[in-house]
Amino acid sequence: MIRLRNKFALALLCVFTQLVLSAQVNDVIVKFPEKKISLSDLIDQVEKEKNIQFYFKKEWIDSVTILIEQSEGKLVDILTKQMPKYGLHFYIKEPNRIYLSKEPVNQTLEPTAIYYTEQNYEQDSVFDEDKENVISSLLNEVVIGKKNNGLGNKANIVGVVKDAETGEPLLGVMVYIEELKTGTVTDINGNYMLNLKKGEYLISFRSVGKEIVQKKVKLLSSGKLNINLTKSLTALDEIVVKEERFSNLRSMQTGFEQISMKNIKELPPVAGERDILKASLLLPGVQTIGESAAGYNIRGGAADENLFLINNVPVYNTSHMFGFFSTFNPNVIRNFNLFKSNIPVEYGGRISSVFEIQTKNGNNKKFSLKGGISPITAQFSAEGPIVKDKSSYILGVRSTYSNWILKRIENPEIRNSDVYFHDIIANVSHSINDNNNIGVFAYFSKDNFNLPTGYDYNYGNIGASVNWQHFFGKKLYSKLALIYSNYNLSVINREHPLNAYKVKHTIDHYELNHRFNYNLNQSHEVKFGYSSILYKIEPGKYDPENANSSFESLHLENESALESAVYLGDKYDISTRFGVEGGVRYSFYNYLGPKTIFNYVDNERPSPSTLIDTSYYGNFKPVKSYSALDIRFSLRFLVNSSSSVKFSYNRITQYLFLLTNTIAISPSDKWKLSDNYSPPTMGQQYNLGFYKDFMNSGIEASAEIYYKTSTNLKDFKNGSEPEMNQHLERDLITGIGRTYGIELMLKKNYGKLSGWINYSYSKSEVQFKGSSLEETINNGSFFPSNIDKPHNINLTTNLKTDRRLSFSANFTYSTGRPGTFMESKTFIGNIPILNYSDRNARRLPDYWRVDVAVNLEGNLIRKKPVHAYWTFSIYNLTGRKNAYSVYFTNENGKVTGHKISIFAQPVFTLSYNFKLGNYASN
Amino acid sequence: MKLKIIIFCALAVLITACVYDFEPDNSDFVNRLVVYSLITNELKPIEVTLSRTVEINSNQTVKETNAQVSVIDDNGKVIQLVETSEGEYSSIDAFQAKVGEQYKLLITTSDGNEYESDFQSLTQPEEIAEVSYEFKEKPTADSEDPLWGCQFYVDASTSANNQTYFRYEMEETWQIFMPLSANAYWNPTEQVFEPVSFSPICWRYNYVNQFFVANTNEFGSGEILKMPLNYVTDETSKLLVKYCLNVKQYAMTESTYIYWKSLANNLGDNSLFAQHPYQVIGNIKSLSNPDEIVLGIFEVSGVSNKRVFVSGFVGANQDMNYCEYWEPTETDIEYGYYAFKQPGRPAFAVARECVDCEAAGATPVRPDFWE
Repeated sequence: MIRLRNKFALALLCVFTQLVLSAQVNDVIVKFPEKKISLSDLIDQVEKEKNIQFYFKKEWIDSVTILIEQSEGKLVDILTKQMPKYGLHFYIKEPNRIYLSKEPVNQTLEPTAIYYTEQNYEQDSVFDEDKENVISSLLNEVVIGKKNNGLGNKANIVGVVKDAETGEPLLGVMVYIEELKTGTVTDINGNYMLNLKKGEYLISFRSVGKEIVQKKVKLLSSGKLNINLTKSLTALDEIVVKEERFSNLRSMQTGFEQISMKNIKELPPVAGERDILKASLLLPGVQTIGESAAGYNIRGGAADENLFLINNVPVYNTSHMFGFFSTFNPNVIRNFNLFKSNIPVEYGGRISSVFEIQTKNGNNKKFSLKGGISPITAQFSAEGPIVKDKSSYILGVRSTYSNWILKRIENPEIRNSDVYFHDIIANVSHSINDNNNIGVFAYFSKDNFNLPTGYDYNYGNIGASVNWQHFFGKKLYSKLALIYSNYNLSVINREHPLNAYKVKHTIDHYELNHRFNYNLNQSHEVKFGYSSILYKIEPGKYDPENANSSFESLHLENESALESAVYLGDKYDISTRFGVEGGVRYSFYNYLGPKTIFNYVDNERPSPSTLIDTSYYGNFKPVKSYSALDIRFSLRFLVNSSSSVKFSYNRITQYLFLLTNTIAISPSDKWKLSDNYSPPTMGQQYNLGFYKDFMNSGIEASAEIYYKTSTNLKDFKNGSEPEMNQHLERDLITGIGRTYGIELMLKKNYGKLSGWINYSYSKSEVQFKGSSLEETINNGSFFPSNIDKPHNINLTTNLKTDRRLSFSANFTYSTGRPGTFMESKTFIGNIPILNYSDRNARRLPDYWRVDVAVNLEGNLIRKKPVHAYWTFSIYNLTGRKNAYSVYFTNENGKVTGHKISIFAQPVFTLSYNFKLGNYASN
Repeated sequence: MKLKIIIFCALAVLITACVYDFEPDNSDFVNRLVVYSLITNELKPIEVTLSRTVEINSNQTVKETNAQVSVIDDNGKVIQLVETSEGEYSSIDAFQAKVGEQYKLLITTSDGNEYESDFQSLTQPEEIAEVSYEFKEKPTADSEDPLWGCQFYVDASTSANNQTYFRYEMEETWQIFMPLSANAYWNPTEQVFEPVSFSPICWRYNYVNQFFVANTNEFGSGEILKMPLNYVTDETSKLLVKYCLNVKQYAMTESTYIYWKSLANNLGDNSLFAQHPYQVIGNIKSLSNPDEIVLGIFEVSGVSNKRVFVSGFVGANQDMNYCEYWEPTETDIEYGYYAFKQPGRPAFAVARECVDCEAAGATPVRPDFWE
């Protein structure tokens, strides 16, 4: 809740008790002996003489001096006239309190208060003008519906919770019925629904950084209650918002993480770039192979087992510059959710996790602009209404000027390289009417490297989605999405000029999905839907790079497949303590022609000697089908109001994988569909979690234990080459994986000092045990996977000394990743023969790093055109030379071990960001 | 793939160096038997080398001695090998592999463990079409200072239209001129100048410690086209006069090719974007202990070769430019010295390795193939 600090309150109580209570604050008359008085003196005087308490923040009034026109006047008149000049608002709460505020005050906050601003405050009703159902809307009491209207003894309340300033719907607002000790949370469109017995309730609406709104509701029959939430107006000391607690403790989710832009802003940036995906590496269970490697590994899973969605569009390559940055411009991101265990039933197709990234909706009230410069990129975003209150747009553009930096580096190979990337995010949302919202979203990212020895890499994502949300009455709504996503890669290899070639790889993803949510009542929700994805993959189109090249074209045969699914999920709160959620998802997959399939002798390893013949399948002819039943199940038991236990199980099937035989995702890796010889991967996960809140301290703790297995993992036979390979079935081998671990998290979300600390133990092992030696790795026993880094500690803290200045720091530690090291050598003739250990039998040194940052906001003057902030950060403060990779070189038999360190020194960066408006502007 | 490391380093904006030495812990070192034998269509004694692996920073070589080694063919004919020097085993008679026959290597080590290879058959040798070269710069990590030298290439075609696997080995021979000359030796015991004569022109030989693998599939055309081989830099004096590269092309089975390619992979950089390095197991296995890892290979390949001569290179390093004449010192006179003597003039002393190519590791005998 809100704690107000009154610097004089105590003094008032002790000393000035002799003062007579004035009848009404409104009638207070103040006398002025002089023409000038400082605001703080005025307040002192009034507080002493009139027994009125002022509530404000000292810094607001420090330098404010008021010129007096008359020697005496009504306090209210003086304040009304003077306050706006200094960017202050005020309101009075009878009998004797006056609140000052930097923000316009929404009267819904304090229903009994009387508001004053420079204008006459508009009585804009917080209730929908649905005259049918809303009879009266007293400030503090709402009557919904009509007496004797509607059958039965239950009724629905539906509504939208929006941001009062921007009109943007608010996600995750907790709608809590105090009497019933239960509630719901608004969805991504700000919608909520309550199904209650007719009667009287106190309903509160709570959200991060927003004032709490409480309504006394008299529910007669079904109706609407729309709410606008304003910014917390007196963020004087601390705000403890219970929304997060709600989701963690009471939700059905296990293995769930949410990062808001507030969190991102509070973390030290990498090379001046704030990055939502990099920030996720500080969460338990999220790892990467090496510093700045592309690809994320969730709970020991492979990097291709994650589904990255931005406004429903899947993104097939999420990294800029080989993994230094993610392709999502943080300025237009609203929040992101990471499901690492119990993946919602509407999602499928990746066995480890779903990263669900949601962009902001544009401000539908006024235009706003933001921008920033860091040593690597410049970016800006613009948003504003198209039709006021109805439709809006947001556009974010980010581009490097890193070539500028490269040209300043002494090493000529670096100086002669070109590295360039940009990304664009655009979103238009339109509210057609109360029952229909439509959004159109587009996404582009592009990377380009030209290396002086003749490699050019170009890759990019293109994505678009049309999202239509429709309400069928009060209980049922649907979301229809049409999605297109494309990933394209082209590499030019001029290393051998006479044999120079270019290769093109693309994946096209066309998707239709239709999701329905049906809220039977407060404690029972059903969801169902269907989806269909058409994949088209160009595995590799190799052509000579120029007319002089002797390279002969090689066009690997295209692949296509249709993956469809239907799902049904049900969430039911059996009692206030017990909740259960289950779902089934049936997916069916068809690998489609045109395709030539090589047939091999049954039960024999595909090889040139076991080849029998080939079969050709025509356009859209099914070549191979798979189907699977995915399962989701979770159970929640609320031990008491501050702790809960949850269990979940899920099973997911994945039909798409990344062909890689390198340790980290490399820019030339290509996607592949399941076919006759590479069956889909299936993952299963069991999760047990314990959640505890420490009341009123803002601290929450959780512990989760998981065990995960996966089948049909793909790898390459040793020494085989994924490039230009027309017979992948001869080189791919399959294995199984098992990962298990425990994740402990302690988190303090709000307050001057916020942050989290987590420890995770995570073991990740794989086994490749084929029928022959070449299909077997490490003798067919389980061995550590590339991401097996058992011990992880992440600590992140943010200290806000005041509204302008904050310090943040983080510390991260993990066990070194496994590696295959040289263990001995010999000579054949004069040629050195280097003998390596078993796969992943050794380990790199442990990894740890400390980062710090200082964030300085511009001044807090309310009326100013532009607000700016500076961030100074030091990445890898101690300059530890963490090993990114270890390799060995030999010169005539003299073998030397080397390690590569990225950021082997502290990296200092300064970045500048601005936005139109003041500190608090959105 | 090194370039990617460079880019990584570049992007870590302020960093000048990002590769550091690393000493791995190797406390659980095991020495393993290494077998190597190559039989070709050339008529010569079969040679088998047996050794043991050593720790990576060791300078030792450990030989496997006193083993019983034999080769049998698929008709059951056994050729017994004898140990000619430590760890080197050789057949008494010359031998030539024939297309259509299969061969197998059998080993019993002195501790009684038995090892054998798979049966291997000879792959038809293929002709080298051309060995060519180009004088060109080669970029280095510091591209302000590229190397200058001669890059060799090989072209080969295959008679059959199937995929063929090749490995290339190289031998180099180059001509040198001795920088100084001597015509006498001061014999300190006899106290006289004895006349001597050294050839001013000599040849040096070197086996290139590098091998290259290629398969026709990589070129998509059933041919090997301008496949880069070794690069001779101007930092050596090899190209100063005349240089000859003998390229040996071994045509081999796919599995032998994979073996060599794997070794080449492991020799290369194994950064994050490179493939996993891995233990390369050839076709030798232990019969006594199936879990024992045996390294090396028994290879039966078809060999062909081609030479190319290079002259006219500008910029090769003059080695031995430390050589000079000096006035004999008392020590020289006491212990003897090589001298350049002209009538009526005092003798000058000269270092032997500046006049005698045999002392400098070269030979005055003109090779048969020299043009």
